[in-house]
Amino acid sequence: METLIVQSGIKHGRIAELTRANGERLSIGRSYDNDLVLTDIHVAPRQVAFFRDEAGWHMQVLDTTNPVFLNDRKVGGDTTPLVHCGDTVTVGRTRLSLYSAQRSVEKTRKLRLANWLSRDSGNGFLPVLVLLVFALADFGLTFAESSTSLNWGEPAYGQLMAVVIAVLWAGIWALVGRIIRHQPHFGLQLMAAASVMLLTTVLVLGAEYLAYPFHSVRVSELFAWGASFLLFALLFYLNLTIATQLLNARAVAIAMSALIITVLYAFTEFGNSEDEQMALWPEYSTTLAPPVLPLPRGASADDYFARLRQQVDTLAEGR
Amino acid sequence: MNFLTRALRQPTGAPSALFTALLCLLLAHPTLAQIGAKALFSATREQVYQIRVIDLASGDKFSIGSGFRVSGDGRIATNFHVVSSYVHEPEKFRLESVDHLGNTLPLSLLAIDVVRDLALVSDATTTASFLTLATQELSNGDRIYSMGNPLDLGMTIIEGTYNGLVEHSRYRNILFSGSLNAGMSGGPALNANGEVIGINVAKGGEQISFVVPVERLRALLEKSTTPTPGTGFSAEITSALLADQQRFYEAMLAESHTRKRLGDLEIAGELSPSLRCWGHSVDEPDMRYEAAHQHCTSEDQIYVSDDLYVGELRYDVESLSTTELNRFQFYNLLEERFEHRNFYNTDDTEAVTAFSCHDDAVALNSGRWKLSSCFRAYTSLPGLYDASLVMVSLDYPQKAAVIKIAASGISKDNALKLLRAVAEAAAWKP
Repeated sequence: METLIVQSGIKHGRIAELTRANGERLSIGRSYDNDLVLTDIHVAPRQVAFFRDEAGWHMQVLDTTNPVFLNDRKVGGDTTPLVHCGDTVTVGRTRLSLYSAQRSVEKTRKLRLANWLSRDSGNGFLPVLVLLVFALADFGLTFAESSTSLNWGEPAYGQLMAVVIAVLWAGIWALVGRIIRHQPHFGLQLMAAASVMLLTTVLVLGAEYLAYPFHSVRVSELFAWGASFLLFALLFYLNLTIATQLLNARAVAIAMSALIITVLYAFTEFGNSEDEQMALWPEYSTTLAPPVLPLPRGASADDYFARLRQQVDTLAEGR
Repeated sequence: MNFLTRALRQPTGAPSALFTALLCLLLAHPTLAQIGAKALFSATREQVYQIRVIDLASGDKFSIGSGFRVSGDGRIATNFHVVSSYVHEPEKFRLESVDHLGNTLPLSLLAIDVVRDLALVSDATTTASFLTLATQELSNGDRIYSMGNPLDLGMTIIEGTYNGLVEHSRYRNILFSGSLNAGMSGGPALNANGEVIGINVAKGGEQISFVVPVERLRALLEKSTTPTPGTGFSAEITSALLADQQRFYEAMLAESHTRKRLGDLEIAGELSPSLRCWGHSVDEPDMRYEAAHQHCTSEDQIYVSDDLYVGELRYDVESLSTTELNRFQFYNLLEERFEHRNFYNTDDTEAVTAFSCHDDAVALNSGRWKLSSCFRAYTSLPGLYDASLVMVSLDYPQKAAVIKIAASGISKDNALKLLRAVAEAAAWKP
């Protein structure tokens, strides 16, 4: 080990304090004549010293009021263990890392959403616009699609709730970002939530109409579950990328989404107390012929009833 | 009392008219009428029994009903539903009768008529006294009496009025304006001479009760002249139900039905005289569409077991139109209505298979419709199904019709014919 470096704390992606040994000795303590001065009241005025000999750098504990740990192992006042690059020293409430100046560093990681992340501060216009587009699109679709009387209140209430949820969601992730990276990126989080919600609105419409060509609610349901999984994964991926430095944000997002979808699926499938009675209800395709799609030619009545007869026959066999 | 004194002070000249009026008044008086009931009660109570289904495991009564002696060779008539748990699970139960003195006798099952809810049991005693079956017709308003053991409270007689046979019903029971209660099932309904005119079977509401006409009992008695206590009753239940639905649907499908106009739609009108039809239309000011609705239902339910009823038929047509709703809104309105009629004939998932449905767009003569047909089979009644069709027209963006038909306890062939007949009967008449 050539030169000893002591590192304490990381803030805003920078190392807060980095102390390089000048020569053969480096001292740490609360008094001002140390090489590295710690303000921790649990640290002695002269706490630890590092010195070099032929073998390398050694650590010496100078005060035993509080125990000193090297890599979680207590070091007594009478020993002078060798220290290595990457070791940690804990004393009082302070944790320090030891490095060698020759230590190789991780190769530069590509920053995803770099443009957004750098531009975020103060620009709230775009996220609010996306949120507004989502709310209006969802409201418009809901109203234009399903309102049979002039009732504005009900769909508007739904959108208002969705907007509130999006803001809360973004707020929680902004807090996470503030804690982990010291940057909340609230606007960016809000845009992520709003974009995913907008995408959801479109996909829900698709899920409903998908039953039509297949005459099967199962297809719709499968599509809806699949789409929910992807949307959750996308949302978590964006949230995590913005708020944290996770190396494998994608894998974590997929795992979180899978967990949520599994829990939701289990809840709807098995947690329903009316499940027993549901078995007594028919399951059939409720999609008729959606306005945007061309009308089917239609089977002949003979064909339809012949197929129905076949189906009833298999029902009787399975009885 | 006022009326009497004033009448008596009237000048002589119309004494006979006065006497007649007085007589009528006295006869109509409740305390006097009760003399009839009282006499009937003491004359017939010996022939009326409480019928008990005893749970073999606990030795206690599982269910109770009433019954009455109808022959000198030990035959006692009751309802099928009174003894049905024994019929379905003879290994778990036994039958016994309790007479007016509290003596119990074991019973054996002789014959059943599941469709009309009748059963004959036997206590194998030979006796000279039993209730005779009435032969003369009653007229509406005749006073009739009903005996039984309501709610296990003791033998009771109630009186009421004969109101003819129930209209709009597949099984025309006697409408008895009196108040039958649980436990009186299987007891006799008597005329003033103490002859049996029917068997108590069900309660329809306040002072509305139903009595199976005695002819059905007579038929069952003839069938059971050679008492052969048997256990093959479940096959008999199935064949009786199959035969009954065959009669009913054959007649219905053979008949050409009156056509009925509902909005721009012409449909088969009331499918059967046994259906009761209602109509209503929606045109509230804040509703942006118009709807005319006809729904018909049969209130005939055949009791098979506590957990299974069959025989229901429902027929629903709704015609909708709008000038204000856009395509999407109208479409959603239709989608909301595209629902199968629920069957409430069983809560038991073991009694029926899951529904199997076939959904498709079908080109009928009247245009293109989306059809969904669902069938389920009964696990214990081979050959019988619940069948349901719901269909909606697809051709017009601003008018549409939703047609639903649902039948429970129907054979496959009849169900397919019925569904198809209903589907093909619809026609647009602009």
